[in-house]
Amino acid sequence: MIRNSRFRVLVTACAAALVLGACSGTGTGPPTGGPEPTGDPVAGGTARVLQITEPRNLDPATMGNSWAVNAFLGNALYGTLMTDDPRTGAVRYKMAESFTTDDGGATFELRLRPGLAFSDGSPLDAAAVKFNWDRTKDPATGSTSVNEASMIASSETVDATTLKITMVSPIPSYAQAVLSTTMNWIASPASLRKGAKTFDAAPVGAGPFTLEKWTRQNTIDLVRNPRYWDAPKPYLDRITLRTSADSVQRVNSMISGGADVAIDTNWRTLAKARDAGFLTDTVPLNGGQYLALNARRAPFRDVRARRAVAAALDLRALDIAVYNGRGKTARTLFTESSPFYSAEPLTKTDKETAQRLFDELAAEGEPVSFTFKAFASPEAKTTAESVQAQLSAFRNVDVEIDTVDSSEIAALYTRNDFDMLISSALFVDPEPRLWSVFHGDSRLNRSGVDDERLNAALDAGRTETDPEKRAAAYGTVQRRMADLVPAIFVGRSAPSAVAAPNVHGVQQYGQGSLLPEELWIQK
Amino acid sequence: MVFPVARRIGRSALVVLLVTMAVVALLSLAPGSVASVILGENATPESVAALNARLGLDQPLWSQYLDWLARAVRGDLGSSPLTGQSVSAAIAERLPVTLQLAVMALVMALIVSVLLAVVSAVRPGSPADRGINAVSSVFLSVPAFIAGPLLVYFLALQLGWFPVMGWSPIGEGVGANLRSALLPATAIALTEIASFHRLLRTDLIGTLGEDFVGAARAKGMSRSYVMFRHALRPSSFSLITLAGINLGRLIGGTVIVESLFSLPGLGQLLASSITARDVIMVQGVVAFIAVLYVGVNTLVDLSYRLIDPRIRKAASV
Repeated sequence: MIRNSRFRVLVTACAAALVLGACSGTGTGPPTGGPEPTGDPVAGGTARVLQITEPRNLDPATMGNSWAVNAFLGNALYGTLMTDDPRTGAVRYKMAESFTTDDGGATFELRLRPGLAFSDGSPLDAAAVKFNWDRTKDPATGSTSVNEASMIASSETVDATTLKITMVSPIPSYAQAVLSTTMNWIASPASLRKGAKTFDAAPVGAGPFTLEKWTRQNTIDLVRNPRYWDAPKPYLDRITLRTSADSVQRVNSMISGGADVAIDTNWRTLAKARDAGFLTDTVPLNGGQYLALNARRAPFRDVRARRAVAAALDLRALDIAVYNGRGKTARTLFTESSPFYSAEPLTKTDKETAQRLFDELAAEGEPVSFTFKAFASPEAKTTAESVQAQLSAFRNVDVEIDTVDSSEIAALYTRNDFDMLISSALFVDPEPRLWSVFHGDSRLNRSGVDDERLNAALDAGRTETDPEKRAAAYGTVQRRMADLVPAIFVGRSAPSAVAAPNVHGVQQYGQGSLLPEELWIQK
Repeated sequence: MVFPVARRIGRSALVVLLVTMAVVALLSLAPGSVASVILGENATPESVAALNARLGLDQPLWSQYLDWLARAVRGDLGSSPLTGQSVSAAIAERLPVTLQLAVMALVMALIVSVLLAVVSAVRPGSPADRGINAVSSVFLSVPAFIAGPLLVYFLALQLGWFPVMGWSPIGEGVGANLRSALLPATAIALTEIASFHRLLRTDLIGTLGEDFVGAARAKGMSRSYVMFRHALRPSSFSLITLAGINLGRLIGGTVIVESLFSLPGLGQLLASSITARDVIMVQGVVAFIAVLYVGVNTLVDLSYRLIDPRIRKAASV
């Protein structure tokens, strides 16, 4: 009864907001490809969900809060402090009641909802958040979010529900960094202190589900957490998670009735799922996948080599090769829905210019010859092969492909030992991701391009609070990137969920982070 | 009797030792390290070096190997630095899946191949024999990574009889377990059927040409009685040898099928551990598979004495 009235309130609020053209009731807009949900959420049932990657352990700090990694599982076990509307970036508070700054992002105050409890009944308080964020910041933890956590200089608990944090440097939009990383997940400190083995057997969080059983490389069985703070959610009684890294296998499993929801990342299989009558929901993230050109060494030390390759590549042909033409090319840094959108493309195909530059460099004794380090996924390999095939049509350019497996990726990044590789910069708000990826002072700057004007514009975009001045700063960023070509953006990513027609409540936030507590199955 | 058996076991132990040494040497040549995998792409060279030192991976290769060997002979295969799971527990968790797949595939292959070989051998060169040979050639030339997706397409996607992926343990019901195991087991069995059929057919044709078979027929025994009572048994030595070798191979060699169907077996464990450069897990799993492989082969060798009285007699002379 309570659930029904809550839902009606939500529906009424959304309807009103839609009239105003600003409904934020569903994170990513209504899913497409299937019938609209009808009726109130139904409690009960088991959802069979397919994820892309199995975690190596259940430590929230070492999992990853994006669709391609363990976002769904992390949200299920640990809940969320905050989420956002991935279309507008507007923050929504969940276990956190507020996350505010009154000094332009130099310090923040995190306030938790009173009475939050972990699944074992112990309190989820500010001290627990501090413990988790300090662990994430510690390099020895090996967290995927160590860079975002390291933006905090110090933190102190003010009272049971309030944590005050002081930043290394002001970042007004730091909430985005928290919600789009594993900092959004808080586990019981007492449970974490018991060690990895004990924790993996019985992780204690405050999420909508708890772990029943984990059979590695097979199933992760989750059951409803009766202590979940946002009752009557979750609607489902149980979730069975299976892992498949193959997008074709995931969608085939859906088609054969073997799964109710699949996390997906491939434009081609998403189209296949839609054609088969499934609902698909894709987060419209800015940025995308890019070819990082290592400017620390030849041939891409010379900006003309970078410009030549950018001018030589036909992104549409690349999309046809990788996604059968069903993908979305990334001609601009921001999508049209972003307040920072500019129609000026980052790269333009101009084969004559490309050949002239290749010839010019060869005449100077520095022909463009490089190795594309391709990761082992089918998409990455096809991208590399397509780049190689396109460039083979030009004189004085030579491309070799070296396929590397996942254990080599970290070492490649650490040593910057590559000429060209695929990376990604995905974001709703450009902060902090864009700064991390393209600022000269950032360790995550794959290309190594260190340009004074680009750095200044990224700094301004980070610290400026006036929307117009921020937009102007990111305008400069786009122009400098088009000129310097530290990267060639090849396509938008597809952080997506595919749902059977009887599954409703598909909501994603951040970088394609699906919320399990919202899912329900029509009986 | 005791000496040959002891010599056989000694040789087997040497094989296991050499296999584990080769694995360590090969993995040391591969780029990347488990420390890099654990610390991820945000790691600094210093933090990777510190973790390598903590895991003992900065020690000389021979020292790491001897440490592992000293623990392994006491039954401690160590724990994965990546997952924290003990290697023995991981093997115990995965072995039933791989063993069931291998045994199911082998049993399916033996039943089908014996029937086909008998039909073929009764009238060599007949249309039935030629037809079976043609099918056998197809099975032999279609690897599991082609057969698997084809089986999935027709039997799972089009007909919906089987799941596309995943494993249901026997504890969740025999029916569900068999449904999840049948397609991958069939994908494995196809090649085995072809090789078993060809081998047994040749041996059977040879045996059916022997004088004692002719004598049995002359005594008025029926064709089927002679086939199953007199010809099949002496013709099955090569088949038993091959089946034994293949069972050992299948226990460690179902990687592709386990990956195709997302099955939590030893093959998947080994493949993912190699990719993650989890040397401890790889060494443990390989040592286990090697022990199993040479163990099965030793048993097969020793079983000849039970099956063939001539070998028993030769050994006792």
